[in-house]
Amino acid sequence: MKVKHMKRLLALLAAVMLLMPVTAAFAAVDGFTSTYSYNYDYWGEVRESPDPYRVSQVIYSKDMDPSLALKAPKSLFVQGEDLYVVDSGNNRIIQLTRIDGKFEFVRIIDHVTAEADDLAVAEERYNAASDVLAAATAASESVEAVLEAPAESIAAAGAEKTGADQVLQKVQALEALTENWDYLSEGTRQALAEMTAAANKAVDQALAGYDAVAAAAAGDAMTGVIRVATDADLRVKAIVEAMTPLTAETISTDGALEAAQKSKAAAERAAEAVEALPAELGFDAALAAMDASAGAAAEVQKAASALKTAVEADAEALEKALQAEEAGFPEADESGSEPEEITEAKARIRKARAAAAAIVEAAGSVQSAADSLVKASGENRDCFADMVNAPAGMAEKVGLLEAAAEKAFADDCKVFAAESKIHLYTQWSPESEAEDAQVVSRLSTPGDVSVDEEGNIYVADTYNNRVVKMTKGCELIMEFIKPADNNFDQNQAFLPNKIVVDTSGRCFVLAMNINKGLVKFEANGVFTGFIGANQVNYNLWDYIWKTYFMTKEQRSQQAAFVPTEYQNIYIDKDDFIYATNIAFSEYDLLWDGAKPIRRLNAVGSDILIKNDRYPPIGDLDWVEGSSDHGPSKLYDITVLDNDIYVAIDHTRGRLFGYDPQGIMLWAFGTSGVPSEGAFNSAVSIEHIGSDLIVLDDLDCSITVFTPTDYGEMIYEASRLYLDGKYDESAAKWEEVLRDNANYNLAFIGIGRSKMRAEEYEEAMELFKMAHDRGNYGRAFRYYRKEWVEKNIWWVVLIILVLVAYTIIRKIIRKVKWEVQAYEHNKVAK
Amino acid sequence: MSTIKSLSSAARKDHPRLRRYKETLLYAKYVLFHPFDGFWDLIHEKRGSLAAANTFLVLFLMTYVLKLMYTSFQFITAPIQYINIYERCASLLLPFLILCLSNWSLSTLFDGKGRFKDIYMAMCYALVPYVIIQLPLILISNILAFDEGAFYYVLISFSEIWCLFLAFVGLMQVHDYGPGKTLIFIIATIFGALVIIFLLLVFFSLLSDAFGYFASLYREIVFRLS
Repeated sequence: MKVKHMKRLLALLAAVMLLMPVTAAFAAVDGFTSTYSYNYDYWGEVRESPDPYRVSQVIYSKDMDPSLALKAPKSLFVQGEDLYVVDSGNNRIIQLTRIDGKFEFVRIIDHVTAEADDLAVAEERYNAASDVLAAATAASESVEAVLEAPAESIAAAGAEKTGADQVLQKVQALEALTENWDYLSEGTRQALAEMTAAANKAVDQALAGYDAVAAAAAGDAMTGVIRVATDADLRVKAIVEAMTPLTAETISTDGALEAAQKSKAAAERAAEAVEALPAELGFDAALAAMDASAGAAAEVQKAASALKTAVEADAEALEKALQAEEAGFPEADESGSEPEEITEAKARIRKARAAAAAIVEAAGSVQSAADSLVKASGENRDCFADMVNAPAGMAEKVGLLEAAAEKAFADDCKVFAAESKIHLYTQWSPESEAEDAQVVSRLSTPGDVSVDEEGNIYVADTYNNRVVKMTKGCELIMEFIKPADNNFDQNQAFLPNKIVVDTSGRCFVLAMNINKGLVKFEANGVFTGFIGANQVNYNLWDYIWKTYFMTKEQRSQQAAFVPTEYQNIYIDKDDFIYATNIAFSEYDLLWDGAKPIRRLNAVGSDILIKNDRYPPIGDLDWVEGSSDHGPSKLYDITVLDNDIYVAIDHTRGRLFGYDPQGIMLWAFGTSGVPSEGAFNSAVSIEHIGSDLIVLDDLDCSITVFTPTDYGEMIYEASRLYLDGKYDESAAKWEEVLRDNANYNLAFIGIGRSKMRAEEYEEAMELFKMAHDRGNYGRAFRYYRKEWVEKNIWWVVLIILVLVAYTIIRKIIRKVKWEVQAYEHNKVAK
Repeated sequence: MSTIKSLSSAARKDHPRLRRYKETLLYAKYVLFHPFDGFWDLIHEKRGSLAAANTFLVLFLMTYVLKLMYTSFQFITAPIQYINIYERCASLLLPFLILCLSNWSLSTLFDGKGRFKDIYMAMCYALVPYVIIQLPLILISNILAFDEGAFYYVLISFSEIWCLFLAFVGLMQVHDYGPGKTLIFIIATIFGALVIIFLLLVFFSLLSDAFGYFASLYREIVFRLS
């Protein structure tokens, strides 16, 4: 028995084993069918599809003007209708433009000129520096005024005092004159007395005023002001000193940055110092004294003028009396002899006249002294006001200086411009000068180009170790050079290979041999770090092997676990950077470890949406066994305006379009076959609208693809869906399905529309076709709910029937058992 | 009704083999819930039968196929259009048999009490939870929505864990080993299975080479003669 079973088992085993190859032969999936356009279905199988794109123009280098023939072109860039081809091997960039669907040659960009805008920048910098210098000079003056004001004020007070003294002296002199003069009227005498009193008072007041001013000038408040001003003076003088060479005609800007920074710092500190000025200086006493003194002076003036008038009146009266007396004299006879009394009288009259004139003169000088006293008093007031107001003036001027410095050095841009100008001059070789005086440097193996909205051109000028920004007319604006930052390995050359520029002018550079991510420059050229470093790629097994099973020598010979560089970058309209990566281990791809396409946000994290069964990696079928086998190497990527992104595969010359959800829309293209739409070595892709432009660096050709009706329909349908026009979108998808019955997105699109129309069963059917579990589940829930609502009576009925059946069965059994028991008992009896 | 009754009563009376078959089938219930006693008695008290074991294996394969075909697509990623039932069944059956064989080969050398038949039987009885849980689950999966999948997956995992546990206890009882030794032997069994597969591959490739040799010889002769 046992042996028999064993035999049977073995026979079964043998049968199954023989069956295996047979079934395997049936199950064998036929190989990769070579199609130009295709899609991958849910199972990762290739499904032929209609062509989404057709070739509309091919520009072969060999057909072009010999002077335009490309040599190792590296990259394409599109701005508006302009296409820039980076003709790296010829150290130039060729600009084409599309007119009526055909690309026409525009110009060659191969050099940078220094004139115009460079000078404009230099001029701007010069003007800014001049402004700073002027402001600094003004500030310096105001600071000096502050410093001198106390001394001046004291001098003015002294002058007033002297003036008062002089008035007094003059009055005393007048008094002395009038003492023995009999003609003085009572009024005049009184005026003279008043005048004397006023003069005395003025002298007293002037003395008091002087003391008050001297005290104020030497007081604590003023000392503080002086200290601040001395400090500010030093700084402002330093600024003047630093800025003077910057504004000189001969630009010796080695220390430009340093000077500018120093100036800025000095201006700031001066402003800070000035802010420390005492708000209230407390000069009330001095002002009151000065008011009193000025009042006294005014009185003196008034008194002096009154005195003068009085004296003059007296003199006039005297003159009249004298004339009357003279008129009474007899005519002189021929002999000329006069009577003695007449001669005496005449002499007396003369004397009286002279005395009167002297008195009038003295009164006049009193008045003029009084006038000058008033003037001195006024000056004293002014000087004091100057002293009081000078700190405020200084504060204002220093504030202006700071503002000017802030403006001039707000971004270090201008200073950098100055620096790049130096750089320019060092690049200036005699040959280029002889050839074209304007050319200051030529491009050297440019790797990439980018053009902003305003037409400024950014070139990754690889072997000049710079990214150069120039105007439309190739005039240098600035350069992004190797950052002098410790984060950047200073032993390594800066070899920018790819660049993108965001809408605010920030520049992201993919540099050769830099594996820390993209080098990020602010718009003013300042290096602000790396973003989006590629993760280190290794698996556990490698790690264990390397760590525990290799000798030190072996380890050192192996490449370290370092992050890899990106292959290419693209920036979309929302400033997200798309990066592609071709260095990965093949089998990381399918499990989404390699992430050959990334979408980097501002901090460099990958935020690419992947809602399909397979991540966006290009081909899923790697065509094992053919010459171009292996995973897709996505050399470049471009993002259309509708957020659909298209990557180009270098391995097999194919283009892959993905929608924003990461679902493959289509794939097409081929390599090897020398025909339109086939590539030898596709390296770059760009788009104008929905047209795609592909650059091949071996064929040196540029191929332009235009969407076919089918391709347009797909775009249109997804656009309508994004706009929320679900039913119109569904109608479009129906059209797509007519062309390609295997199009999952179409099923999903129509399914969604059906679900919105509450046709759940149809929606389920469609979602099932597209293998969209989430949506199917949603539709199914609704369907189930509807079904239960509709069939609830049947369900209840069936349950009731089942319950009833079991109860009845139990009863029947019980009755049977009772009958049997009864029978049994009967028999037993 | 009466005919069925008469048939079954006839089976009870007149066909002892049929009756035993039924009993051994129903014995699975005891094994499921009392694995230690159950497996011991299954082998040593002859409470199981090879026929019942074969039935369970077939049911297991059937469940598997039905699962592939009728589970709601929300819960299973089986490419229906590419499925080859024979291939799928073979890919389950062959490893199963090879593992049994490998276990038998090894345990025989290390004083395992079980014969091949015992091992096979225990393993087949251990597959029962798979059938009794996953068969209804096929129906249930069709009334569940995608986001209620947790329920489904928990039950699936539960059935699989139960099966593995039964297989473990089964081997323990069949060979009269301790748990540690059983574990070691399970690992050894897997390596043994790999060796067997390797030998089979070598055998088949040699066989095909030999066939190829004769085929080319034949072609050569035909070519020369013609």
